[in-house]
Amino acid sequence: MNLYHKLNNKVIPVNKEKGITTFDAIRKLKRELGGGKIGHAGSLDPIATGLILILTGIATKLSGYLMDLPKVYISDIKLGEATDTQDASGEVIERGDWEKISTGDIEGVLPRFTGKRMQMPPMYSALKHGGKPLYKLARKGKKVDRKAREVHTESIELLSADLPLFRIRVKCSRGLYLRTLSEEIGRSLGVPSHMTGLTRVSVGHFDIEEAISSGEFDRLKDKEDPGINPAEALRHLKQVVMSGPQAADLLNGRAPTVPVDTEVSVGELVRFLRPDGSLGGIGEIGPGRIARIRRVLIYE
Amino acid sequence: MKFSDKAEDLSAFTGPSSAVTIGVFDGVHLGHRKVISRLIRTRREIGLSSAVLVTFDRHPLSVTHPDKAPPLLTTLEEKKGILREFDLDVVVIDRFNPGYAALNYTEFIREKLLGRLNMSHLVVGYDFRFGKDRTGSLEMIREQGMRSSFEVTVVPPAYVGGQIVSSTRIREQLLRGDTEMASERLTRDYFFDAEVVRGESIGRQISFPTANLVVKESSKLIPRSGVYAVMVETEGGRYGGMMNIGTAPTIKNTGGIEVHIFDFSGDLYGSTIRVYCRKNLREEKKFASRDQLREQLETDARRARRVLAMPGR
Repeated sequence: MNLYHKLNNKVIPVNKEKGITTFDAIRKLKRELGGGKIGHAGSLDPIATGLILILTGIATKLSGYLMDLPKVYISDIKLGEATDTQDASGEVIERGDWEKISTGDIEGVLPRFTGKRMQMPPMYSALKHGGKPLYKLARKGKKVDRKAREVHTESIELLSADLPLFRIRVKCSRGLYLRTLSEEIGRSLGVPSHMTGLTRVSVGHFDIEEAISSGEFDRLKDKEDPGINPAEALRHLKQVVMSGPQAADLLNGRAPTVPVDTEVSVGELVRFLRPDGSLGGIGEIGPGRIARIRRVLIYE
Repeated sequence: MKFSDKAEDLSAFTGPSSAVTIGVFDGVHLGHRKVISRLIRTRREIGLSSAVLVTFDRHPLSVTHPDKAPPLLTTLEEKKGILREFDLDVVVIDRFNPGYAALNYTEFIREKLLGRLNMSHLVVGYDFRFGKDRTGSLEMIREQGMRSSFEVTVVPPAYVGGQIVSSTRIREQLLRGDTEMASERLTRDYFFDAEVVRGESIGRQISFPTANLVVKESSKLIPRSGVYAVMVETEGGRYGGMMNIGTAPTIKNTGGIEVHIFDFSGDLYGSTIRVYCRKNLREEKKFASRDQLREQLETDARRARRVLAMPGR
């Protein structure tokens, strides 16, 4: 089996190196693959390292279902200096005295940032304003009004501190800006601050431990079965195993019935598995345990 | 690929929902290939657990109507070898005995396909009939499919030159010596396996040493008598050659198959070789003298070498 067939239709957990964009990593993998569809389930800033999910072939259809998975980050923060980009890549725009801050103070304010709250996205972000990414405007020195977005942070934990530097672990939903959080934590302590390093260690059930470094894609050819197949990639969703005729019906747009022993609630997403164990589609549970088809996967 | 001749439950190999095809598949010709490709595509598109081909250890007619049983284009072993080319998961070789032949079509589908193989999709050629006396028409199978919830796909025939490709036609073509027509439909040159036995070494006397061949499988079809350009597969490699099928009327009157292998010197006695019939060069005829025979053989050899130099199947 050639590398294309080994890597196509897979979710490939990649440990992105520092200094390259998510798209650089995708381009490098695409070269190994030699063609086909490729995408990702959530990008990571160039200065950050850690887990990104690269999707190939039919797995590109799963992007929306992987994007919303909770993520865990390890973030390094420096007290005493704020920068225009909120991270170490920017210019220092404010300095302040951090000496009076203790690790206890930090632990004291962290709970304020957990749970649901509104966060103002930074000017240096890929969010669009009138069709243009904000960071392009920011580089020209412009500032525009932005809407605060709801973010959900499950937990924040202080891992270590060697003040003015400290390190936190954050578990959060899609949309939280860690750079902005770094500045917010300082502000709540009354000190300017910025993020000096960021590593994404997990996305849902995907862990950085199983990821291949973006600098070592040439090692993929030595692996028996690299990456994760679509059915396994959605293992956070309950499964509905289809019979042969049900799998044929799904291709014609008819959803399988959800077995009575599968506990589901309205609005929940389920994955439809075909008799060979592959992912046939994704459904959403409606009233009366009837699944509505959200997506059908057509294998070539 | 897994081969099984077990009569009992095979669901451990087929998984929970299989795509199944069934047939004699004698020759594994273009029409058969169309059915098998469709089976494999169905398995992949629907995502079924396996693609299963069911065939028989002998031709059904040799049990039900022995007088009408045709000579075979492929022996069981040859058929198995060709089926290995395909991406099938399980090949089931059923013993076609009187008990098997006596099952009516509903019993057959229930016992041999549904329960034993977890069939959820049946793919069959347009001319397949099921059960005792071939009474299960495709219409009836579709109806049973509705009741027992399996899908049925009927694959239309393959055509070459406006003619349906069928094993019966290919046999007729080979029996009148038309190997090229047969090759086109078989998608390869017709071949048979034969053992090299000691002959009378008469060919050597006229500088055309030949290997005398005996086809062990009595049911295997031998093309019409005549002279053929052939490819010969030995353990040592592939060679061109020319073959005489028939009675060698100039020299002796015993029927037989002899092959003269080009550019070959060695001992093949006792070994089994495979002979691919590329082209029928002429009919067998009687010559007045050995010199005339030698002259004709030299002409045949030149023609055979020319034929073999062209790309074959």
